[in-house]
Amino acid sequence: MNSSANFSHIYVESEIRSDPRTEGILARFPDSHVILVQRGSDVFNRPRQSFSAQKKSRSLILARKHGTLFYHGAPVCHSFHASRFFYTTTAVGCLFDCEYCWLKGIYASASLMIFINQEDYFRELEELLKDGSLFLSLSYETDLFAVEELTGHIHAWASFAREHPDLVLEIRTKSSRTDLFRCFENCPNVIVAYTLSPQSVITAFEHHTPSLSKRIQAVRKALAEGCTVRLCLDPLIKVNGWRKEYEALTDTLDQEIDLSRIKDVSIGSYRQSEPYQRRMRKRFPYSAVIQYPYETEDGYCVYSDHREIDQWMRGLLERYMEKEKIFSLEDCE
Amino acid sequence: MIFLFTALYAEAKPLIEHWHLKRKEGPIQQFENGEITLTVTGTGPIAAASVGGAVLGKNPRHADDFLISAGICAGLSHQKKGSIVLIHQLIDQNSGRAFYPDIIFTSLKREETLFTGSRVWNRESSVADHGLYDMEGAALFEAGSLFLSPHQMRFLKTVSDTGDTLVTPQEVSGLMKELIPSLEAEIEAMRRQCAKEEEVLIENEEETADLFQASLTMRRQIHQLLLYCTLAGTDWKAVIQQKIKQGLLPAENRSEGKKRLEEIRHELIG
Repeated sequence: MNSSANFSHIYVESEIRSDPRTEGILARFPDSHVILVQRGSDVFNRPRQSFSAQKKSRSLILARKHGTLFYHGAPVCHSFHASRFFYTTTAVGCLFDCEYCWLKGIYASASLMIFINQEDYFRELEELLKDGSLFLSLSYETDLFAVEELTGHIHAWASFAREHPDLVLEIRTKSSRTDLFRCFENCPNVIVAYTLSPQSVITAFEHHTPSLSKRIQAVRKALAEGCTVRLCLDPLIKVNGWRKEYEALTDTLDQEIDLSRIKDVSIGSYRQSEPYQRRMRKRFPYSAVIQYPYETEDGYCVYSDHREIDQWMRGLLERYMEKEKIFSLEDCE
Repeated sequence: MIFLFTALYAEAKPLIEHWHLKRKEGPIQQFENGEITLTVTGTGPIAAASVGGAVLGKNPRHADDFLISAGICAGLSHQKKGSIVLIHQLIDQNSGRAFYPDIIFTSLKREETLFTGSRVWNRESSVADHGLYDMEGAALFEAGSLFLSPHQMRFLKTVSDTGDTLVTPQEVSGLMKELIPSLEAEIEAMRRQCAKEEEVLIENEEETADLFQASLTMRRQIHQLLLYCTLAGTDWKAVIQQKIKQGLLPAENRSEGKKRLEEIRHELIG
């Protein structure tokens, strides 16, 4: 687990207080104050919260997820040609602190909220699978690798995927941990998707995340252990000399990783729903990546030359791998 | 500004003496010293919410303002008299609504839930078998939430009784005097918790926008561009100076200004 995870306050929904999974998580934090609440969302969605203040000492919320469990993928997310594309959230909030992360536009809270009712997800997913295969992204609203010690969600999802070959699961991560790959044995339908950025972007904007070299080591280990691996050069962020930075990144990937064994690569420059961007600008007045003067196109804030950037990135990658393996957002439309 | 609240004058008295606060004119009982404003709300949730709302609504709000409510309470599970407790959950007994202040920094180890009701609690009242009881906390939090964030509010209580004895004003003042060291430590903790980040200043923004004969929309665009460049460490001033030297700025009219702005935008952010 990420070393910064030390929750001084843990809010627990009364109805799951005696659940063994709750007990297991609480046992890891004997010094934390445990507060019983009716709904986790009463804490997570409080008005006027300060993300910047809360991130100095995060709280943990343990809850049962009610209502919708699976959502249709948004048009600005990669579907990889899947005809049925969903995402789900078994945890909300992230121990990493990426300045550009959309979570900071959607939610006002820096807390990590974990839903413990995995069985409800599996039951509903089995119903969805009756209508045919589907692609499901698991970690748009958290980094599951970083919290596996607490949740055990990766192990549970891998077991489910093994029994349901019609399901293609994507677990996105910036983590460098390599001890979870064994649970993906005989799970070619689980894709471990590594988000990779130039080190300058990591240093400037992806706080508390592993370095590029550590992520590359994790990719190599994942391939060596037979995992299905996707690389996500997404979001591409314009920093000073960004073209050189991304050229160096792709050179490094070519040198360090056997790219022929990579399932595919997704690319995409920064994009953010306009209302989220507006909120983020208000909440994070000191972040260069958030304060960049983006243009608004179809309700999304994008670089004015985002099509050229994506094309350029595609051209760069085509030097190293088959073009069929490179997915930009336009391919997914 | 530090907004201190108590329900009773007997609670406020030792604090007034300790911080040398002076009575402020007006219908609300207030005492201040330039940094701290202490308000005596009166007893009960309606008094607490109305006075709290009036005080916080009247003053301009700043990111480093915070509210601390300090006072006596009853212990629902035989807590020791004089125990000092930080509140991490406030439950309004009337509505059942719960409120949660953010506790990011604190010097106190002991935390509990505070139940707020409209009547004086006694052993016969059934509230809960744990936590503390008062008649103002949740109401003050709810009123404060209109103006402040959850990390800008703190509730500090000292146990005065367990519902079976009456407490005299002298005892109340005595307990509050003992609370002062903890209160001072919590003020320091709240100063850290609510510390304001330095503002990003864009030098000569107005004068720069004037060079483009900028409309309101263009001024917004110029602001965003210059803010980004300042944060990213891009030397936008050198680019503007160069355009002035080349005679391309100031623009003769708005249409030319728009053209120049596009050129400069391209130069600065590609």
